[in-house]
Amino acid sequence: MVLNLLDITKNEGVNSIGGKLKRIEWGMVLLVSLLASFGAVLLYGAAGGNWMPWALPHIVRFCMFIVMMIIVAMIDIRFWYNLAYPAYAIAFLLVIAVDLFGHTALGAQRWIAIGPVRIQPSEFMKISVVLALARYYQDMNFKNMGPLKYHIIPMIIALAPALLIMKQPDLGTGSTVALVGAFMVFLAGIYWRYIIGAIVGAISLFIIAYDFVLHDFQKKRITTFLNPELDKMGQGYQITQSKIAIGSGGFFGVGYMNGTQSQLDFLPERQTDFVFAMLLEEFGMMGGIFALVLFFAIMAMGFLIARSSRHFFGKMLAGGITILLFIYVSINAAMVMGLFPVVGMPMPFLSHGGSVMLSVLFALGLVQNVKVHRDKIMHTGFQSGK
Amino acid sequence: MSDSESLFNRRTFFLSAMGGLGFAALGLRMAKLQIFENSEFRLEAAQNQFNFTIIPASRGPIYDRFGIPVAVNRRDFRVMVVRDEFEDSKQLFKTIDELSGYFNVPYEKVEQTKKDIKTAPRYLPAQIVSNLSWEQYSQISLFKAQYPGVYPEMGESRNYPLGESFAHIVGYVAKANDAETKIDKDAKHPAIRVGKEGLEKTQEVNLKGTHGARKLEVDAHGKIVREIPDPALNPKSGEPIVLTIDAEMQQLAYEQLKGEAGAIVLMDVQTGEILAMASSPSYDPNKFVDGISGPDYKAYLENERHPLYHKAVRGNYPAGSTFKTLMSVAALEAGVIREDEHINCPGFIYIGGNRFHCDARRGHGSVNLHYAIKASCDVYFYEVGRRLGADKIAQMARRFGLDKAFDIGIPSVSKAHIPDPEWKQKVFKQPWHVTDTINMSIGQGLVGVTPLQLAVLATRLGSFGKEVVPSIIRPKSGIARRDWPSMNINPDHMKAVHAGMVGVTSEPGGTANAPFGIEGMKIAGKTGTAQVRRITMAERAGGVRSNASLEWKLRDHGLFICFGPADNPKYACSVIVEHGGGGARAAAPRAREMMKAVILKDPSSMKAYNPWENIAKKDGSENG
Repeated sequence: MVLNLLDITKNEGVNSIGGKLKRIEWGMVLLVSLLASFGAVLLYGAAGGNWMPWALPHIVRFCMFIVMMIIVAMIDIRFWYNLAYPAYAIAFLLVIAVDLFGHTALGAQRWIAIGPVRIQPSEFMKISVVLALARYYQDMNFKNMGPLKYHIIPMIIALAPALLIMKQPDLGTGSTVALVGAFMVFLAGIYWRYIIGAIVGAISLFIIAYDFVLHDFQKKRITTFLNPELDKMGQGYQITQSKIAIGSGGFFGVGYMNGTQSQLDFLPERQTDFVFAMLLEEFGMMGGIFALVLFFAIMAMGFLIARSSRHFFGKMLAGGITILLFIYVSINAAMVMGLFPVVGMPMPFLSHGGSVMLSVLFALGLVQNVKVHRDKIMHTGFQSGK
Repeated sequence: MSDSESLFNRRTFFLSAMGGLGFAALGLRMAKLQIFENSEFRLEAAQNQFNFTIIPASRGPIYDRFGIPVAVNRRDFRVMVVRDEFEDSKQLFKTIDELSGYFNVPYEKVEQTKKDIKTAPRYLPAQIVSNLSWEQYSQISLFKAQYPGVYPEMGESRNYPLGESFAHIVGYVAKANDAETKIDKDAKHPAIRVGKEGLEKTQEVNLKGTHGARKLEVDAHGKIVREIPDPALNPKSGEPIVLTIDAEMQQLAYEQLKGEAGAIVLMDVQTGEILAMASSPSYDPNKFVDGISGPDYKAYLENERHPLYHKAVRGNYPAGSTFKTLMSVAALEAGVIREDEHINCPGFIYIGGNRFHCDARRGHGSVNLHYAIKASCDVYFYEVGRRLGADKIAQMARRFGLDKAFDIGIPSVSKAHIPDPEWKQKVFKQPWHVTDTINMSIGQGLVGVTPLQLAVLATRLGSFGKEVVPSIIRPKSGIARRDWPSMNINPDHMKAVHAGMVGVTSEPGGTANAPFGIEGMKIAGKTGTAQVRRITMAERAGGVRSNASLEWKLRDHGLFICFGPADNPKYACSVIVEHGGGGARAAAPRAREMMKAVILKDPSSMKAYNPWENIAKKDGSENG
C-alpha cells in the first residue's frame, strides 16, 4: 500500500482545478446526459410536440445542475465531511418545521415556504442522512464493524427523520430514507445475523404498522396496489391506466408520440411520476431496457468509485448515494408497473421537476467528489491502507 | 488490503448483484406486461381510446298487400340529456324540470323520466321529451349552448297510421325491459324500441335491422378528439314486411264489429292468404310506443270486452252449429248416413237416457241432410253424432284444421280444443259419456274453436277439401301457394254439403236466408249460435228467454262461416260476435257485407305490392 501513497505524492496536480477536472468521471457525466436527453425527448412528446411547458425547463435545469454537480465534485471533500452533521441537523429541523407549519399539498405536508421559495426538506434529508452516516462510520475507526453496538446511532440517525417524514405523511420518501440507512449499515459491515434478524423484524413491523400506524389513505394505497381492480376509478385508476399503457407498448413500442394512453391523457402524471410508463408505451420494452441499462451503468460506476476510495467516508458516501439512486429508480419502475404501491416518487433524469433533478445531480456530484478526492488523507478515523 | 476493505468490496459486490437481480425482475415484469399480456392491454387501450355511440337502424316498415303502410317510421324530434355532463343530480333535475315545463310535459311523465335516469347507466343519454315539432326543435337547438348536457336529436319513431284496425296483427313496439336488454344490449339506447306484441314481436329480428355506431376517439375526460369513419359500422335498415291483409277489407271488417266484441277472419280460398283479420274492440298501438299512461292502460285492462286480447286467433268459442258442416262431411264419408236418408225430428231425442232438445220446439219433422243443414236441425245431428262416435268426429274436425295452432307469424295463436275420450280422460280425469258425443255433434260442450280455425274450416269446405293453410305474411317471391294437398274427400259428399250451405243463405227455411245483394250470385254459409249458459228444464217448459232480455255476458255468441261465390268459391269468411244473440241475426249480415265487398273488389286478382321486385329490377337495370 505504500505504492498508493507514492502515487499521491507523485500526482502533483491533484489539488489543482485542472487535475481535479481530469479526475472527474466523465463517463458518468455522459450517461447522465444521455438519460436526461431521453427525458427531454419524452417530455417534448408528452406536451404533444412542444418544448413548453416541460421539455425546455428540463434541459435548462439539467444544464444548470450538471455544472453544479461538477462544482460539488471539486470542492474539497473535507468541506462535505465537515458539513455532514450541520446539514443533517438543519434538515432535521426543517422536517420538524414541515410537520409543524408545513403546507398541505394533496393531503400531505411536504414543503414549507420561505418567502417565494418552497423547500421540501425530505428531499434534502435523503442526502443529509447519507452524509451523516458516512461521517459517523469514518469517525468510528474500527477494524471490525460487525457488532450491533456500532450501528445503534446510525440507525437512529436514519430512522428518526424517516419516521417524521412518514408522519407528514410521505411514505415514499420516508421509507427511502429508512432503506438508505439500512443498506448503509449493511455496507459498513454489520454481521449477517443482524441483517437477517432485521429483515424478519421489518416484516413483522410492517404488519403492525399496517394495523396501527398508517393513515387510511396509505392503507388504501396498499390494498389498491394489491388489487387495483377493486378501485378502478379511484386510487387503482393510476395503476390500471399505467399498466394498460405499458402493456400496449409491446417490445418495440407504439412509436414516439403515438401512445394513445399518454397522448389522450389516460395515463396520469405522464410528465412526472409516470413518465417511465410513457417511455414503455411509446418505446416498448426495448426503450425500457435501454434506460435500465444506463441506470445500472451509472450505479456500477458509483460502486466502483466507492471501492476505489481510500477512506471510509468516501466509500460510504459514494456507496450510499448509489444505493439512493437505485432505490429511486427501482421504486419508480416497480410502481408504474404495478409492483409497488403508488408513492410520490419520480424517475431521476426522466421526470419533469426541479427538486428531484437538483437533489440527484447534487448527490452524484458527491459521488464524483469521492472519485476526485479518493486519495485524500482524512485525518479522522480509520485510514485504508495503513 | 485490509479485512474491512475486502468486506466492503464484498458487500458492494453483493449489493450490485442484488441491484442487477432487481433490475432483471423489472425486466421480467416488462416482458410479462408487454410481451405476454400485450394483446389484452392493446385491447384495453383501444377501449379507452375509442367510444362507440349507437346509431339506431331504421326499423323495417310493414305494408298491406297493396303497399299501404301500416307500420312506418316517422321523423321525430326529441331532446336528450347526458347525465355524465352534469355536476350533480340536483342540477340535472333542475334542467329536466325547466325543459319539461317549457314543452308542457305532463308531471307523471317527468317523474317517470327521472326514475329512468336514476336506474340507467350514467353514460347513456336519457330522453326528456319527444314528438317535438320542427319549430320546437329549432328553438331548443338555438338555445342549446345555455343548457350543457342537453342535446336536441333527430330520429325516428314508430307510427301505426291505421291504428286500431291493425293493432292485433301488427302489435306495437315499446322500450325494452330488463329481460330484453339482456338479450340485446343495444336496446338500452333510449331511441331504440323493441317489438312487444303481434308481428312487431315475432318478426323483431328481421324488422330491427342492424344498429350502426359512430366510432369516436376520446381522451380521458371523454372529450371527442376526432371521429373515425367506418363504413362497416353504418346502420342497416330492417327488412320490410308485406302482409296478405287488404287494408280496405281489414278496415271494413273492423267497422263491421264496431260496438261489438268479436272477430272476423276473411281468407282467400285458393291461397289461404288472410285478407282481413279483425278483433274487436281494439286498442291504439301508438299509445304504447312512448310508454302508455297508467290510466289508459288500466282502462284497457278493465274493459270487460278485453280490447288487448286478440280474439281472432286466441279466442276460444263453442263452434255451435257451424260444426254441423264438418259433421255432415264426416257422416257421409263414414257412410253412417246417405244423402237422401231421412231422420224424424219431433223436437227432441232420447239418447243414453237423456233428453236432448232441438232448436225448433215442435221439431222439423222428417229431415234429410240438405234440410238438416239449411234449417240447422239439432236432432238430425244428434243421431248422426251417435252413429259416428266421438273419435270419428274429432278426426274429421282435425282434418279441417280445428284443434291446430296455425303458425302464421303472430304470437299466441291458440289451438283451442277438439275433445275426444282420450283427451277428456287426460284433462278432466273423467270417462267419456255419450252425452259428450251428443253435445259435440252440434259444436257445443267441450268443443272450442278460434275464429281463425273457423275461417280455415270454411276455406277447406270451399276448396272442395284441400288442406289450405292460412298465412298473413306474403313471401318475398310474391307468389302465393296454391298447390295444396287434397284431403281425399268424395266430391259428391262435398257437393251435398255445399248445397245445404247454399240453402242456408238462399232458400226459404234457411237459417240465414236473405238476398245476397249481387245479382245472380250466391254464397254458401252456416250459422251458429253458441250457448253460453245452460238452459234448465224449468226454463224450457216456460219458454226459453230471449237474448234481448238477458244481461250481455249471458247472451249467446253469434257465429257464421261462409264462402263464395257458391259455384266457384274464392273467398271464405268467419264471423263471431260475442254475446250477439243468434248467428243469423248477429253474424250472418256482417259476413254478407264482407263477402259482398270482397267479391266485388276481388283483391286476389289484383297485383300485390312487392318491394323486393323493385330492388331486383333496379339491380337489373344497373347491370344492363
